[in-house]
Amino acid sequence: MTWRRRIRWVLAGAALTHVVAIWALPRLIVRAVRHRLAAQVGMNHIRHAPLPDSNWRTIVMPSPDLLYSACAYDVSDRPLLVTAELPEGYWSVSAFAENTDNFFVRNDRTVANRRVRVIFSSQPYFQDPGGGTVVQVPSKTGVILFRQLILDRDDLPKALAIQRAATCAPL
Amino acid sequence: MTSTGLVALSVTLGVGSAALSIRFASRRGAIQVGSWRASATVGGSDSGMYERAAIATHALFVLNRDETFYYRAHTDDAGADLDARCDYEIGGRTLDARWWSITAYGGDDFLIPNQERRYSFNMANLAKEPDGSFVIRASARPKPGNWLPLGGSGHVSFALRLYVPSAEISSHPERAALPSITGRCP
Repeated sequence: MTWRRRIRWVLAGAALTHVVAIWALPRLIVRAVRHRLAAQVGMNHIRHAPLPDSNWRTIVMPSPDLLYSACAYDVSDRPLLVTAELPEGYWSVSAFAENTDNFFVRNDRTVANRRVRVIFSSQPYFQDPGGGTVVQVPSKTGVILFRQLILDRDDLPKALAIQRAATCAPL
Repeated sequence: MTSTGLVALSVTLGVGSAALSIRFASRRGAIQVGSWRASATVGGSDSGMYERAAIATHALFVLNRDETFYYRAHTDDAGADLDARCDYEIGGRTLDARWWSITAYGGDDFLIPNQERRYSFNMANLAKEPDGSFVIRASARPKPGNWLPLGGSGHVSFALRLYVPSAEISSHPERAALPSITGRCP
C-alpha cells in the first residue's frame, strides 16, 4: 500500500470513529445511568436522592436547591405508571429518551387538578382507564426525573415526605 | 506501519477529535450574553449530535427551554478562564423567571466542597439591595455578603438556571439582562 493510500485509510477510519463516538456517547451514558439506577432499586422503580452536596457523584451539574428522584424505565413489555403529590413550590416530572432528549415535562402549574398520573407507553393508542396523561415514548428505555425546589432547609422534612409519596411502577 | 497500527491510529484520531469536539461544544452556544453562553435547542428533540454528546458529558438530563433556560459561564467578562484562585463578583438584578439560581461548579462539573456547604445562591436566599440589585462574591477566601465559596485551584464555572422563564426570555434569551462577572486574580 502506498503512503498516500495509507493516509486516506487512516483519515477515513478516523472520521468514521469520530461520528460513531459522538453518536454513541449519549446513549452509552444514559444506559450506564439507567443500569446504575436499576441495580439500586430495580428497573421501573423510583429512587429518592438526598439534597445534592459536594459528595454527589450520580449525575453531573446537580442543582443544590432541588430534591431529585429518578426512575430508570423500560416499557418494552408493559406501560409505566407515574404518580405524585404536589408541594406548594416548584415541582416537575420530566422524561428523557435514550439519546438524552427531554421529550416530556410537567410542573406543578401545568398539572391539571394538582393530581399527577402519567402513563408512559410504547403503544401509540394506549388508553388509561384511570384518566391519566398518556405519553408515547420515543425510545422504549430512558430515565424519568422528579425535581422539587427547596428554598428553605426548614421545609425539608415536609418535602421529603412529598418526595417519598411519588411512585413509578409497571402498570 | 502494519494494518493493526493503521487501525489504532485511526481510532486514536477519531476518539481524540470527538473528545475535543465535545469539549468545544460544551463551552460554546449559539446564544451569548456577556460571558454567559446558552443554547436554544438544549434538551430538545432538535438538538444536534454534538450538542447531545456535550449534554451527556457535561449537563445530563437538562430540561427543554420552555421549562428551564440554562446559561453557563466558563470565562469572566474580560474573557479569562474562570479559575478557583481568583476572586469574582457576579453582579446583576432580579431575573425574570419563576425562580432562578446561580451555582458554582468545579472542573469536574460537580459541586465544590466547602465548609459552609454553600454551593449556590437563589432568588430566595440572596441578599439584595433595596433597588433589587445584588452582588455575589465567589472566592476561595471568605467574603462579606453573598459569599459563594470556590475550591482552591483549577477551573470553575457558573451555571445560571431560570426555571419557567418569562415569555420574553424564552423567546429572546439573547436579550436577557444577565449578571456581569468581573474577576481579580492574585
